[in-house]
Amino acid sequence: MNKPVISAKGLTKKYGRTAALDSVDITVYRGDICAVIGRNGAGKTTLFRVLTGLNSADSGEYTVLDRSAGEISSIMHRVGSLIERPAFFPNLTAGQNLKYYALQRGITDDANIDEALRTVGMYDERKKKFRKLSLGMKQRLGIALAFLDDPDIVFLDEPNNGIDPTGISELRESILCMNREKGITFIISSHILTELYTIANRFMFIDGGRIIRSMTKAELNKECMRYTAVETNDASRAVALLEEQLSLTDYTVTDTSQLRIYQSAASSAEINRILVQGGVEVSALYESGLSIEDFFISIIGGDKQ
Amino acid sequence: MINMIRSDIYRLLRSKVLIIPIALVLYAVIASVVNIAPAAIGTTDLLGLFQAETIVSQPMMELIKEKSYGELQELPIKVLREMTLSSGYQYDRAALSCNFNMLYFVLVAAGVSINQDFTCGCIKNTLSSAVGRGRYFASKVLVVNLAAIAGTAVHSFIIFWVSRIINGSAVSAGGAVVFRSFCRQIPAIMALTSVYVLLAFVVRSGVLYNILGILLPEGFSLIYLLTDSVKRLHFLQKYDIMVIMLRSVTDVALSYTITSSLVCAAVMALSYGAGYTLFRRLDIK
Repeated sequence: MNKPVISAKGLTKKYGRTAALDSVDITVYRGDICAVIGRNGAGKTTLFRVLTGLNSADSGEYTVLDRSAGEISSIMHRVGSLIERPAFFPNLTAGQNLKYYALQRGITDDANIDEALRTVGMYDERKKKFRKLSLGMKQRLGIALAFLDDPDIVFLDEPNNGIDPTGISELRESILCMNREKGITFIISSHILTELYTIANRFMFIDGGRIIRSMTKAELNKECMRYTAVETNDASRAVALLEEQLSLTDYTVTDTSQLRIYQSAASSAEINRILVQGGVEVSALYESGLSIEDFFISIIGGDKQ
Repeated sequence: MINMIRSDIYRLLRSKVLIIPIALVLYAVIASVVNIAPAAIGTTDLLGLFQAETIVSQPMMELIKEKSYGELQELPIKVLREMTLSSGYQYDRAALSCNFNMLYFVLVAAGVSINQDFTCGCIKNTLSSAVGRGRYFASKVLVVNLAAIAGTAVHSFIIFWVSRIINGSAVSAGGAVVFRSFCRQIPAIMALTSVYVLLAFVVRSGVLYNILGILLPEGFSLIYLLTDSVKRLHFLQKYDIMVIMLRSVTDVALSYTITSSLVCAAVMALSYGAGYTLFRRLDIK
């Protein structure tokens, strides 16, 4: 397994009496593209702010690239981020703004700046003042800053805001390419869940400041995939019968009485026949499955499944 | 740290915001030199260039004290210049004693370097991806101090040279005296800068920073108000930053240089201590 690059335990942050983060435990591994999914005000941005050192946590501990909160400043040059809206100096051009931050990080080669601008399709706009850029262009510039000089970790908070469909597609390709070729770890929040689903390999669902579910893509697929649910009086006997007669391999037993069968080749009628003939009582048998949106709603609302 | 300073200088040189105070300072220098009125911001139409009212220097006032202010104002500037030039008045040294006016330059330098980071939200890009808070704070302190000292130095020596060109060497204290006077002012300049740095970190709204920054000198006058009625506290009046600036030029006693430098160091320690304590715990928006 890859090495964790971010880990947090019991992370809590309060604004007044409201807990924006409430005992958050997370682990993100090197090379992950981790999607953080939650409603408005769920705590996504606060989580990003704490992990990037912009806000301090009230309690709990965390490490980024093996450095604890107190030592995090020494590795911040290896972290890129776009948190909330992109913020730049309005009277400087796009290129000058990136040059300013490049100088801060000790990057003297302008080729890095040009590469970051090209990655987000902003190279031709580099001489425009920031205040004259459109919302989408500003967002692209914010992403270019996050990508500057190939950091080890990139935090992107709602990166698709204001970006046109072509831009979203280009951004997706850039993220996948940088992740694949340079091993950059991404932590991304977005409300476009289908987009996140396309690129992420790890998912964290956050609500009310708490991480309510954390799973890999395979686990999410299993949760969302359509399946045949079988409720019986004897799940282990049912499994034995189905393994024997249907060569069943892809299934889970959620509790002692419910079996979820993910193999699409097995029809409900056939499953029912085998179980009844084998003497297993079937109290319910139905098709089910969720989209990622459905899954998200089901776990935050708990009643829409 | 060096990278932070380089980036700040890069931005300061491209932001063009400093052009306004530099232009104002240059205008004031020329107007003041022509009038031989060190603190003058207003000026006269001696060269047919300026129309505003003349503010007459204190030495000149003493020189012609038998005349009323009204009569004085009606005197042609040419006559006033001749009277002053013949009095042995050291214009450049007197002008240095008014370097407190450079606070407007410091106000803008701290505003551009620190306050603008907060108002445009750019500070989050720096703190989340470049440096920690300690280095950020230290580099800003260094940059604003460098700008303040360099700005005051340039201002002082422009006065020296412009005065020599326009008024001749008769009203000059000489380069060595000007340089020593400027050096003695450095602790006061740094103390003044520390107060503006503190203000920039405390007041993170651009408009409020500018208003409070302009009103800040009035705050220094509080020392007079608070100590005026208590005779035992009168000695404190010597340590108002404005007075330290002035006396750094006129009072060359070593004891005063030492005590005033200690006061300036205390102001800096308090300002930077308070500023960093606040900044370290601040949630960046």
